[in-house]
Amino acid sequence: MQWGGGGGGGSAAVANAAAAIAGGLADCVVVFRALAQGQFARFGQGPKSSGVSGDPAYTIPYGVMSPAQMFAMRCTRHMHETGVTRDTYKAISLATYYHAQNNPRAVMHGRPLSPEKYDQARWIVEPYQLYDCCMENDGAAAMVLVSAERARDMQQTPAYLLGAAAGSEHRNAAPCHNAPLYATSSFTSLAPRLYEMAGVSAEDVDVLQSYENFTGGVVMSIIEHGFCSHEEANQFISYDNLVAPSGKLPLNTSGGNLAECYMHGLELIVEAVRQIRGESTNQVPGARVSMVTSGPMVTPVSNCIFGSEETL
Amino acid sequence: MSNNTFYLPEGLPSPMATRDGIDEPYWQGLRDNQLMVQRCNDCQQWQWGPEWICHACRSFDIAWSEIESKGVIYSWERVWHPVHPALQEHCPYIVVLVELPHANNIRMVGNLLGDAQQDINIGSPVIGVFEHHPNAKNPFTLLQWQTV
Repeated sequence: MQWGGGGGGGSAAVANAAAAIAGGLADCVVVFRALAQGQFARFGQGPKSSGVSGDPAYTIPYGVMSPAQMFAMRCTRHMHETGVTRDTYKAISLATYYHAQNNPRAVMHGRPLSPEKYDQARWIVEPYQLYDCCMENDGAAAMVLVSAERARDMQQTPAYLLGAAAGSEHRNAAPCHNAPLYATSSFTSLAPRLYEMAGVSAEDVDVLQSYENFTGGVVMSIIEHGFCSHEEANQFISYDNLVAPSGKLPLNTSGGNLAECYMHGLELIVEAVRQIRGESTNQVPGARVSMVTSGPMVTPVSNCIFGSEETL
Repeated sequence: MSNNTFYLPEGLPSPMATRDGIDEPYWQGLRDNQLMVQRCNDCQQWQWGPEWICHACRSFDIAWSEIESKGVIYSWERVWHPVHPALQEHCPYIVVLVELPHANNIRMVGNLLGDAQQDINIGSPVIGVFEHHPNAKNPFTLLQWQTV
């Protein structure tokens, strides 16, 4: 089954797997991602070609060629429109690094991030400093999906897929940064659809795994999924609120793309399942509704919600 | 502009018209110091980049029309970390997303000429500057921007 859509395809791959099982095309589907950037192509490097045409020709000759460079202007515009500050970006980075320190599998385990270290890091592209950006690493992640009926007979505690959605906003893929809703993470139309499908609301979500290509995209994604308003973002998206187990919205509890392992966000989906099973290294006590948002600012994007047996 | 006044150094991928020719009038226009964009003959809306249909009214009757190369800064970024060999010694540089209010608020990406560490303000008016690369293997022109 094709992945598609870069990081935006993570939850969509889970949706495809669930649809295949529900439709009788498959009994069991493995959703996986494996990346070997070291040996092949680093995502953070520009193209080596001598010529470009089409949409890339309108941006690459001006030095807009890496993901950080492609998405920075969305975040700058969002900060301009809403007053969200870089302190809010910092809270996200610090929380994910904190979680990675409790996770022995994390690439950044044993390499904690302090506010001073965050502040003093070099710029990659304004408004992103080094620790606003996801890592480049090799690795793999996989998950197994079967029908709910079959899952009940297995040894592991089942995490039930309550909903999974994929899509984007109107003309979000318009050429050359001409998306009508520019200062968004592309989730404004998709988030309500996910909640409706899953039969839950933002208030019901116990723990969130939100794809961090860059911290600014996480801010927009949290807002667009209804956890706070643009006006509340600087206050709500704080370090204290984002860390497990005590925060109001524990975020990226494995360390995520910033500090656990950049696996196009599939590691976030695996962590969402761990939270339902009670197996996270940053466990949220009694987590019953566990949500994932995949690939902010790209198009299409996707999202999904897992629940424990009592949420069915 | 002469070679030593390119905003970014030579060696980056050069722009080429698409094989189907849809954006050839744009690239030819820039080489002639003209900013050409698509305008719908039915609903009179401008659009950028080029498409086979008008995304406002779905008409196929689209023409190319010259517009003034001016606008306001809609967003910006300052790049510090080079991701291409040609840029190793050329950071920082500034990229602006320019909105053209007189052409249906279409947006264009370019560099902001001048000091790479200058203050940049969203909403500032800018004018276009044609940066010709006549000695490239396939000559081309970029549209850069300068604060008014």
